[in-house]
Amino acid sequence: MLVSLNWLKNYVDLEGLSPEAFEKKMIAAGNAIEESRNLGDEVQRVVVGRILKMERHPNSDHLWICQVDVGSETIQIVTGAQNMREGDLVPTALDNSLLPGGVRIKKGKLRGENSNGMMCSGEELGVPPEVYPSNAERGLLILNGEHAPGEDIRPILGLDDVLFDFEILANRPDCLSILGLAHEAAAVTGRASKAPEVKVSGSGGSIHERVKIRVEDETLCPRYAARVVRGIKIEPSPLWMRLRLHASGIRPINNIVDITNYVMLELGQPMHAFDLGSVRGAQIIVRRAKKGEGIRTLDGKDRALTGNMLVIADAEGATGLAGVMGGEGSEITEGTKEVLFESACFDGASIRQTGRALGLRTEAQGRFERGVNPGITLFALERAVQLVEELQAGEVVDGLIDLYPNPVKIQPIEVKIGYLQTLMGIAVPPDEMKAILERLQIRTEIKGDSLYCLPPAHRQDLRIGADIAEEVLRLYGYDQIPTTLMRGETKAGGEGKTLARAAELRAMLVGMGAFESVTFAFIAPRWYDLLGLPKDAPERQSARLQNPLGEEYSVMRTTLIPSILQVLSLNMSRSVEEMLTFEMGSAYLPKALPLGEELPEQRPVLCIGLYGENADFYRVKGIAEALFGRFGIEKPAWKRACKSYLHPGRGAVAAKGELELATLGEIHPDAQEGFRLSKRVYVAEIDLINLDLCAQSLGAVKGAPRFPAVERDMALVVGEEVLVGDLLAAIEKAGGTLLEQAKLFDIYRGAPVPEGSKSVAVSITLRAPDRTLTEQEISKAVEDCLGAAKERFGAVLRA
Amino acid sequence: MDALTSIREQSLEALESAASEAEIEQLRVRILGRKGELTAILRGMGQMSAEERPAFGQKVNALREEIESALQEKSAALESAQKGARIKAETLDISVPGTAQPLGAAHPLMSTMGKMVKTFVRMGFSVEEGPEIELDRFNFELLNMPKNHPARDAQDTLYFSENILLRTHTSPVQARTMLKQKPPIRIICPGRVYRADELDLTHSPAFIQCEGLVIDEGITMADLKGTLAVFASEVFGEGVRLRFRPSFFPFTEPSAEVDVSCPACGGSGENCRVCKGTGWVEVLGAGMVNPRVLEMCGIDSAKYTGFAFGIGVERTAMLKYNVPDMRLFYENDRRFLAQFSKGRL
Repeated sequence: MLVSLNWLKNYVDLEGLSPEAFEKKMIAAGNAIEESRNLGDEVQRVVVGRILKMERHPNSDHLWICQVDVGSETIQIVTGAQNMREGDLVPTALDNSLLPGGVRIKKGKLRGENSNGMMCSGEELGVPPEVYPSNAERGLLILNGEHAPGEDIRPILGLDDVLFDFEILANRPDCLSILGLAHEAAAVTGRASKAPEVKVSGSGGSIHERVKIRVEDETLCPRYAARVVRGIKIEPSPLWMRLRLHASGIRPINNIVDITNYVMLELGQPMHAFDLGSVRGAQIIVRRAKKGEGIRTLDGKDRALTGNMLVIADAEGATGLAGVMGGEGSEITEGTKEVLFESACFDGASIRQTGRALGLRTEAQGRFERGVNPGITLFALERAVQLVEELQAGEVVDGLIDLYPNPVKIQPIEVKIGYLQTLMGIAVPPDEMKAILERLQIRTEIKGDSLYCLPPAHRQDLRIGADIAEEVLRLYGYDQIPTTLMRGETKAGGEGKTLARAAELRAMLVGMGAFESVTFAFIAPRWYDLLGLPKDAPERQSARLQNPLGEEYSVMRTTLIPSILQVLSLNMSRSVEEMLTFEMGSAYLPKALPLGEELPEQRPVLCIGLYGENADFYRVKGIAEALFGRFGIEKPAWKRACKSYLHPGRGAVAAKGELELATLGEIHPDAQEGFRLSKRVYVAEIDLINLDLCAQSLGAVKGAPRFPAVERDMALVVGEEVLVGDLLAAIEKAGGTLLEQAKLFDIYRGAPVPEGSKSVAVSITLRAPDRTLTEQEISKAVEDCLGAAKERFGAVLRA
Repeated sequence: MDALTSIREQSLEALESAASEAEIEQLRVRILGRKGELTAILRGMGQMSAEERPAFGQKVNALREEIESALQEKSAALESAQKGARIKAETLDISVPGTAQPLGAAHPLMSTMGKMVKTFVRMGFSVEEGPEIELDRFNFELLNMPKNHPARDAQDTLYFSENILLRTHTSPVQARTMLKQKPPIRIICPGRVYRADELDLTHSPAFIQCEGLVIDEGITMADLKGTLAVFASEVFGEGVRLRFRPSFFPFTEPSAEVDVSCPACGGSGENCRVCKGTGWVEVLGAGMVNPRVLEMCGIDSAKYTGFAFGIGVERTAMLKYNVPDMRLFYENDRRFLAQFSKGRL
């Protein structure tokens, strides 16, 4: 919220406190300030000048040479403006002056003529035409008051001010007003604050003769007050009011509308002014909208209403959305003769729902949502009509309507002093607590070991003891809290199974040279198309966001593969030669769609992707096998994968019994194209739950072997259709207990191996734990291995 | 000069000039071999008188030993010279880079989170995790943010339906823990969270948080300060200072925003873009658990107090490593990530 320091000073005594010191104190007490601007510092050496004489520039058809009285002297200034006349008073920037935005004005020559300064437009001083109307679109700001040449321009245009942009916390709606902040500032600085003095003269008549008001829903509208003003003269509001509205970021419109905005800024009460002439049947009814009812709001849009929305209606229909926006029909216009000022309290949650449903977000709405103090409703109404009288904008009709059937009672708070001291972590003495609380207008009594606190009406956020603790602490100083370590039994903390597993996998993969990625869990549904997934693929069953930040981020991924492909694609497009990456994240697997109360399963998954010189199917398989090995998973069953995104001849699934551990392989050429991958890419997706389920703890181990092993190499010629994995398994089985391992070391195709066959070179290692093997034992084991290979696969020993 | 003296001189001279193991061997055969010169003299001793023989025999044997040991010495010298020459010839240019051992790197967000987790685990915290797709009840209602509460505005939420959403913080894990576990509670909840913020320099629609919760008898705000002081010095380094500013969060009261002295300028603020000259940077929000939250989660707020805090992992990593743009974390460009394999984290 933008706050003018000058305005604030009307209600709190800040004499002798610099803006910087004030800012610091406010921040330390929790009143965050996003930005502060000292307007006075931005404008320097700009004074009132009187144009004494104007002459045409000899070398130009549009420039004027003016003699300007700036108080101490008369100076010559050349200008291109056309809207001034001799005798006019204008803001004049002297030599070496400063304008907003850091613009410096220096004397110089314009087409050969000396110009010793600049006469300014409103825009150049940051004063727009709606604040200080000028008689030309583009021209000098012509001052219309009584000012002496040489007078500092800043107080005249409200530039001798400091603007603070306060970031008001959600629990402090009371600070959304000048008066509220004045109270807060008074408490923080220990100074005095006061409210404006309100006195209304009235002009006779009676409001009751002019309008009847009825509130049908007291829950949604706990208080509704109104006064009527007749004999309205619509005109611009005075400069001082326009300047304050402008400083607060609100555009001045006309006297009546400006008064409602002024009161809202000053006191925090949103107000509305109706053209009473257009209120049909001289009746105002505050009720829920009827079925099928509609309204055209001030912004010119037609809106359909529902029974949850509160409206302000006349005898015939809705004329305004309560607390959100007025209707076009009852808008204040040039022809308005009588005005009804509304000052009311509406239920925040209902206002919020209405605004959301209609896509509206207005200042008044925001304030009602956060809570408006019902204690100020009437005061604000009186303040508004007082301003009407002050501005001579109309005559205030006597009497007021105030419908407030259930006045809010402020509940006292009783809290144990010891509890407060525990929460705060510092034993602030009770007397000091009381003193602080009373600065905040919280009436406080110390009774025994407790405090009894009665908060002021504007502090509806104070309900429980903890609220009192915060109030004391923020004025006592958060920096006074000591630093202690927790007492109580110390337990051994735990990282937890999930993080521990992730850390273990991460360490292994990093050791292999992999870089970890982190990508978004919501993805573009079209990525499923790029993967070539059929319409009924389970992967497409993903939870969809109602309000995503765009289609690209709209569904929760059921697989990490497209995310990893995206990472690889980005690196490839940036000419990164090779990449081995992985991500650990969740696959979000809904149990039913659309989502019901039962939340989707969040299945932890590890996805690996790679490309580059050393990338191939066997590398990615090797990585998976290494991870399996580390988890004690020996020899899972490998089957061909059947996934649309994998190359049909180069995809595999590893399983242990029923449990699938991993799907891996080379990306299908179509998906490769889809993800704009210029090189072949290999991926593996590992299910970490199944990995855990299959994991084996390392049990007892043996000593290092003490007897020598014998190695025998054999080259076996088999048909192409024979899977090497099957061949090795058969050999291992046939070798019996003596066979330690059967290891593939080469696959050879080509002469003299006949076409359609391959030569598989296997090295077998034989060993007995308790003796050196005899030649006979060795020969028998080798024979058994060969025999099995021959019998099952027709293997022939290569000569 | 007798024959022995002549053999001695000749053989020592020949040995002197021998340049290889082969030459030494040849000499040994020539002098000491079965048909060698000294052997021949020994055989000729038969013609000597019995009185002369022992003395002469001794002389011959002494010479034999002398020559043998000279041969050995020469052989050892030669071997050592050869080894020396080989070693010399094997000198390497040690400035040539070593054979690359390609190491990868953990993602900076994960390593930063890991560091936080370790720090808190050492202080006796246990990790709790929970679902990212969450019910409104756990994400908001139990945390003192009923439906249509304006505080929800501060957390623009992504919804699946009216009651199901992407959690906007990891606080629902706290709520779930309080509902199932009696105090004392001392947990941290790291994990991914989501908000409807467009991706830019300092925002991301998905980010990582590490929240903490302690509930026990007599827990104070000073304990919160102490706990966070340990965190800050572990993560940002010793000597870092903390500043608490009053703030508001619906689930804590009193609440605080916590700043650390700017890691970029050391807190001086001089010409510092990171802290915009203030010397402080905001790193987390914290406070004493609101008694209403305790009550809603079935914990006696008259008996127990507690504190909670929430740390942004991105923000912490950006400050720690001076990363200028949050988007770098989610691009996963290898050249960015590879920097995190070059130094202690």
